[in-house]
Amino acid sequence: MSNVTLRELVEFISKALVDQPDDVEVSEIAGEQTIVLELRVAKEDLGKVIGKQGRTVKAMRAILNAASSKLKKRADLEILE
Amino acid sequence: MNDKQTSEPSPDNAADAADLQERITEAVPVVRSFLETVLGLMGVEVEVDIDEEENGLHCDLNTSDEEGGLLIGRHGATLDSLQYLTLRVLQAEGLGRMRITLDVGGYRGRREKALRDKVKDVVRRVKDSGRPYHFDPMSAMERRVVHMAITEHDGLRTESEGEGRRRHVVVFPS
Repeated sequence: MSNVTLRELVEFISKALVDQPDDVEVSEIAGEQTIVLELRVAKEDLGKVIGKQGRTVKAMRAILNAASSKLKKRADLEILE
Repeated sequence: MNDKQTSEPSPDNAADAADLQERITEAVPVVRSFLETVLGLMGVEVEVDIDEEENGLHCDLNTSDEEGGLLIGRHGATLDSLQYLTLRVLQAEGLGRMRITLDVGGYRGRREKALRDKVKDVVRRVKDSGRPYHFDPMSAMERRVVHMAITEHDGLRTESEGEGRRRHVVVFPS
């Protein structure tokens, strides 16, 4: 399905979680089998997207995996500091 | 930490209850717009039904069986993740703590029934053997179902052990 937009998905969820949505940046690096998504947020918002024991980023990865399975690809979310 | 006490928001008085009701009502459009956008970006066609309940919101995600399976994920992992993020978004919006339940095609009910059946077997086993039984790790919500179901049986007590993704219910003879 072509209407799956992983970059926008990560961006939307991240913006909904942080205090400074304007500082959210997501870049998508598409490989043959894997799509790497790099997320940058304001320093003070890092905890918001990572969560206690990494629970928030883990939840985002689970949703990405579900979405990317429709594209028959793997998605990998990395948070850049 | 005891799941029985921590997972249930218990309003201390009428003022808190009124505040909770107000927050629940305010949360409806926030939750709807979050879920509809996320599901849309996931490429899933879905209709979101939201019901206000005493302690929070119950959201039914109505979709085809195939898309439903995708939304539930392995052992409910995708659905639980979506539910967790919805809760975090409400917190980010300043709407605080409440119970959010996401369901797809009655999955939560089927899973709860399966857990209750399992509890019956475990109760018998612990009573017969006199030895503790360790459940597989499960989410806070599912551990709560197990704790509650065991309290319906005399002569047994439960605790949660392990941290993070290994956290699980243990049933002890007492």
